[in-house]
Amino acid sequence: MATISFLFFSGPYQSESPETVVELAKAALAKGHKVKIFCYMDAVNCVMTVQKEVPGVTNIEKQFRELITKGVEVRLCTLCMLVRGTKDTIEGATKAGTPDLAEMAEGSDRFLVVF
Amino acid sequence: MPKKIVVILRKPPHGSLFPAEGLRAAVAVSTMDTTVVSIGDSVYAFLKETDMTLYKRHLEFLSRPMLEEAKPLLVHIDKVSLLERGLTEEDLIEGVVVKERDEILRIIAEADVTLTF
Repeated sequence: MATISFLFFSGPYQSESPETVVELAKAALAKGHKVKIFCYMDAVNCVMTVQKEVPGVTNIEKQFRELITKGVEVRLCTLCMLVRGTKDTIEGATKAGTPDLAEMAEGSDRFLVVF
Repeated sequence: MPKKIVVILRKPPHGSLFPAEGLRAAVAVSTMDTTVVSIGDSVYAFLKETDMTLYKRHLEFLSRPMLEEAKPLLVHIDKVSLLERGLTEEDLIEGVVVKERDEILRIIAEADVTLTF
């Protein structure tokens, strides 16, 4: 089993980047790998708990909840949350800092950056 | 053996926070074998007249490590990116080094982890 980590930058509902990260994470999980996601900059907004269900649009909150339920470690840049006023994040997503990013880079077998 | 990490700055400092955030991340990984390279429009982040309020302290931390045994971590500026924009080494601040494209490519190729900003 390998550890695959993502450094992820994009907020929800502007591009398909969150969906891409979610699908890559699911594919890695399906192959038995451990997955970690570091949400940086606008990506911290992907785990807000107030996202509205819109028919035909992938609900990113729900997708990240599913990933966490399946054991994915989701870490959120605390400074990025502070400057954006991001609160009420989904349970299981943990506040973190750039030292955690360093730890992920050091401890992962593969490290992917998704904008 | 510590992993080789390369932080790649690509975006301009105007209209984007990516150079500042990339340098913040570089500080975090600077205890490992880290190199910071600047390519494309990110070279504008290191011009003498650029407002560096958001990342000046990161540059200072990287170029003047607190531990005596640590070597300074200077940003490697891609010479081709510089020349393509009509800029020269004289336009740049101190604490950065200009490198040929081949050297930049070698650094990236040899890295275990690339952090792209």
